[in-house]
Order: sequence, then C-alpha cells, then structure tokens
Amino acid sequence: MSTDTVIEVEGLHKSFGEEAVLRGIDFSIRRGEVTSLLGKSGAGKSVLMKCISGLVRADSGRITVNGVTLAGRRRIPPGLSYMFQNNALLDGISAFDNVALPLRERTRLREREIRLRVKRLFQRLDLDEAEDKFPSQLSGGMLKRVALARALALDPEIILFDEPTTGLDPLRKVSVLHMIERYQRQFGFTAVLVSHDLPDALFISDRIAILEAGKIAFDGPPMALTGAAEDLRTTFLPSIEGLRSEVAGIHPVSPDRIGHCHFRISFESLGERAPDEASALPDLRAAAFIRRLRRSAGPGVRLYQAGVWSVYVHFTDAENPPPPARELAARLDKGVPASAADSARPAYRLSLEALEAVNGSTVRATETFAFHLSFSEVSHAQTEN
Amino acid sequence: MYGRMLLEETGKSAIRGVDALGRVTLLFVQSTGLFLFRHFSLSRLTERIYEIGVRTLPLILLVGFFTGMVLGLQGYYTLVRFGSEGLLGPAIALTLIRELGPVLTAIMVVGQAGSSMAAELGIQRNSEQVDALEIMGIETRAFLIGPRLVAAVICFPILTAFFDIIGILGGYVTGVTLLGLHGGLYWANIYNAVGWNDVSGGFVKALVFGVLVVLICCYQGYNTHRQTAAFGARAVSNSATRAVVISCVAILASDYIITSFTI
Repeated sequence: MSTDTVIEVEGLHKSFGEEAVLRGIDFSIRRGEVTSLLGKSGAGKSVLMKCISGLVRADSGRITVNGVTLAGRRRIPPGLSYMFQNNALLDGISAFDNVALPLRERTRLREREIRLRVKRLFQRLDLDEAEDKFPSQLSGGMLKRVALARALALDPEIILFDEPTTGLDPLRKVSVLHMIERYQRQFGFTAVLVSHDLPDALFISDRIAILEAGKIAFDGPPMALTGAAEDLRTTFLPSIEGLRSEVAGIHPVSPDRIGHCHFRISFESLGERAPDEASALPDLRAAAFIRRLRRSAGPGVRLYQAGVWSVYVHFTDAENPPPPARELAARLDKGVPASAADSARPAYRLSLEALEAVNGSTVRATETFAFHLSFSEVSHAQTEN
Repeated sequence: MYGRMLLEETGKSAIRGVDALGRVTLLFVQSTGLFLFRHFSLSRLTERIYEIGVRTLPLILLVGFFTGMVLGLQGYYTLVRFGSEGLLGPAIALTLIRELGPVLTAIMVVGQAGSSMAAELGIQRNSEQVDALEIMGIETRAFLIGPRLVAAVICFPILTAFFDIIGILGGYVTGVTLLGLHGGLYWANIYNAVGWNDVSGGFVKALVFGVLVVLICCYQGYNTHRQTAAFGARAVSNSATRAVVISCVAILASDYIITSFTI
C-alpha cells in the first residue's frame, strides 16, 4: 500500500445466504481524491461501503484503511467517517448536540472547547440557525449539512457518502454535490461517494469505479469512461447525457461542433459575507454568471451549461479556427461586468477549470480561468437570474 | 414424514431459543459491564431514571391505589363471612408486598416504558442511527442499553415500594373509610404480620423483573434488523409487540420460580 493510498481492498467477497453480492473486489482509493462508486441498484455498492467502514464483516479478502487491516474483524477503522443516505441523525437531540456527540463521547475535551468547535463548524457550514433545532425541524439541505458537520466533527481523513443525493430533486441533488465538492476542498478529506443513478457525481469526481456483477468493472478518471467496454458505455453514458438534459434543460452536443472543452465551475468566497448572502444558493449565483458568459462568448463559440456547475464550450465556426485560450478567456471576462467602483474589494472568485478538451480546442485540460467579482456584481447577477 | 418435520421444527425452535438466550445474556453482561466500568455517564443514567422511574410513577400510583381498593373490597366481604375482617390489613399488605406489587409494577413499566424503549431502539436501528453511533466509535450497548439496565435496577424496587404503599392506603380507604373497619386495627395487624422476609422477597422480585423487562425490551428493539419476517415500520411494531408479550410471560414465569424458592 503506497503512502498515497488510504483505502485498499483486495479480493473482497461477501454473500448473504446463497446470494453472492461481492465476488472479488480489488480497488484502491487515493488520498485527497473524490471517488464515485457507481453501479445499478443492488450491485452491492452500499455493502462494499459498509465493509470498508467496518459495519459489515466480509467473508474473505482484505481491507486496509489508513494502514490498518480489517480482515475478518468487525471493527471501525480509524480516521473514517460515514454520511448515511438518510443522514441518521439522532432524532431525540438537537442539531448542535448531534454534532457535539462524537466530541463528547470520543475526546477528553472540555465542554467549553467542544461548544467552540461545534459553533465553528456550524459557521463554516452556514448552519447558525439550526443549532437549537431538532432534526425533524430542519429542511433536507440543512439535514445534509448537519450530517456532514457531524461527519467532520472528529476531523476524519476519509468520509464515505452513501447515496447522498438519492430521492432529491435535480436542484437539490446538485446543491448537495456542490456542498460535498466545496467542503472537500475546504477541509481536504478523501471522499468516496456511492451512487446508483447519478452520473452528475462525475462532475465532482477525480475518479470513478463501476461495480457490476459483484466486481469492479471500471476504475479510472471520469473521462476515461468513453474508452471503457461497450456495455459499460451503453449503460452509463446515455444516463449522463440524460441527466445533463434533466438538469440544464439543454443537450450539450450541438450538430455543428468542431471541437469542445468541458469546464468545472467553482465559486469561492474571498472575504466576509454580506448579511443576506448566507441564504443564497451558490449554484444559482454560478448559473447567473454562466448566462452572462454565454452572452459574451462571441462568434464561433457557444456555451452550454451541462450541469449546475459544469459548462461546455463548443467551437462551431469551421471557417475560423477556435480562438487561443487567452483570447477566449478575455472574451469570457467581458461577460463579467466591471466593478461598480475600482476600489471595490473582490468578494468572490469564479473559476472555470478545464476538465476535458478535444478536437481542436485550444484550451488544455487542467487550464483554469479565474474571474474576480465584487459583492454588488453577485447581487446584480442574482437579480437577473 | 410429518413426524420428522415436526421433530426438525422443534429442534430448530429449540436451537433458536438457546441462541436467543445466549445473545440476551451476552447483551446483559456486555451492556452493564461496559457502561459501569468503561463508559459511565451520570447524565445518561439520570435521563433513563427519568424515563423509567419518574414518567411511570403517576401510572404506578394510580394502578396501585385502585388495586388496593379492590383488594380491600373483595377481602373485606370474604373475611367478614368468617368474622376475620380484622385481618384485612395483613391480607392486603402481604398480597401486595409479596406478589401483586412487583408483578403489577413490572407490567405497568412494560406498558409505559418497555414498549416505547423497544420501538425507539427499533427505529434507531432501522434508520441507521445505531450504525452512525458505531461509526463514531461510540459503544452502542453501553450508550443505549447499559444506562437503561442500571436505571431499571435502581427504579424497580422504588416503584414497587410506591405501589405497595399506595395500595395499602387504597385498602385503608375501602376497609376503614368506606366499610367502617377500625383504623388502628388495620395498621396494627399489618405491623405485626409483615416481616422483613416478605419485604425482601418482594424487592428481589422487583430487581429480577426490572432486569428482565428492560433486557427483553432492549433486546427486541436493538435486534429489529435481524427479523426475517418483517421489515421497516412493521418490524418495529413487531419488536414492540414481542417485547410486551415476552416481558409479561417472563414476569409471570420468573415470579413462579422465585416464589417457589422463597416461600
């Protein structure tokens, strides 16, 4: 197990009665990455997660988490946290006490220090209003954030997310995935997501693994899926396209496309928040800016918002070559209005990180364009949206 | 053919029974041991004392009072035929202290706290709250079951004592206030008839019933996910029902066994 590998699974088998669910799983998860574990319903994804977390004992095989081997034992590995599909918050105590619980039970911290830590977590996750409320009094999004706060309470190195978006509407789905992506960057944990029908997870994943018939059928970066076996492509790729249409209401493939690049959008707060900003959805702010960028893209360039935080740039002018990356960036930058006053302190940074660039695109994968925005611009964009 | 099937089923049931008995015993030892010696929490114990003791007390007082009144009424009209109505006090007191006090208290706690305990644990199990606690590294038996068992050991004798006292007062209301028996005679005969053995026997029963009731209810709730015949809400409802039924049977069966040894 290399130092970069935090979870290593070798030859894992698990059966329930005569039904073999996992039939020799071999894969590993690297430190600091977001890995999505995909598969159809009943493929054994949750069983695999529960084996990794120590909640279910495997029949055979070896699991090593953070250097600790769990073979044959039902034991919770160190530095690992788990966010359950239905949040699994204790419903008899407040949100604050739910988050404080692992600190009270697992550490020797004084109550004052615990309160301080929990309050800090609540502030970072925009949960100030939820402190004294019981789980049944919280909205779906808040419940997810409280569950995430609890998962983060002991500063874990790894968080397993078991179908975090199942049963949510498309906007809520992307909001939750955005939350995971944002806090994964903020807190730096290794994230493993399980999903059965949500290829949108690809947009935040560094790697995906597909579980088919009890084995890992694909393991690699999302873009490598196009080169995967025929049956996997026919199973998963159409659903990705379908999801893009569902989320954005458009199809990202234009018939006149001569090349394209795929960007991941991120929206980062640089300074103090304005008082009314806490309640605004970052996804909606990002969407408002993408609309503006689309208007300024210029001839031969079209922008398609493929997910709430995923945008495709298509080059469509066969007569003229695609503009160089710098020129493209300059054109897009025009879509962001100049600050109301030059002295306005930038409040946010909107980044477009290229994930994929093919067929004559001048943008390189991993190239990032960044735009600085002031709060007044954000408010303006939100109003427009 | 049918004889063989019957034999097989009987054998399987016996094995399941022994298996369950082993699990229950293990649960008792581990929960209590882990809570008392490794994860003791006074606040959690206090919460459970409130749940089992304080919240059940009004019901115990009400049932105890009416039980005493009924005993007074029945006892008086039976004893008066033999001219022995003066023995009403000892009859009520001994019946309550030796038998009815511990048994009815335990059954009342099963109805008030035991069923809700099983349902609460069942829901926590079904909604993965128990798994969440385990992932946090919290010892769930010490966290969820241990405090309840210790609270039961503390609360049951006290609740039984309240039941006995209020029952004797209920008998006084019927026998003395309503039917005209002499009050001094009522108390004096009780004082002379009731010995330490009667009281301690009642308390032993209360302790045993307390542990049995809480253990059975917690076991049913904690193992809701092991049910194969029902899932989800039905499994929780099954757990609560089984907890009540098995507890009541266990109370009466163990009552007979303890009485046969202590009488």
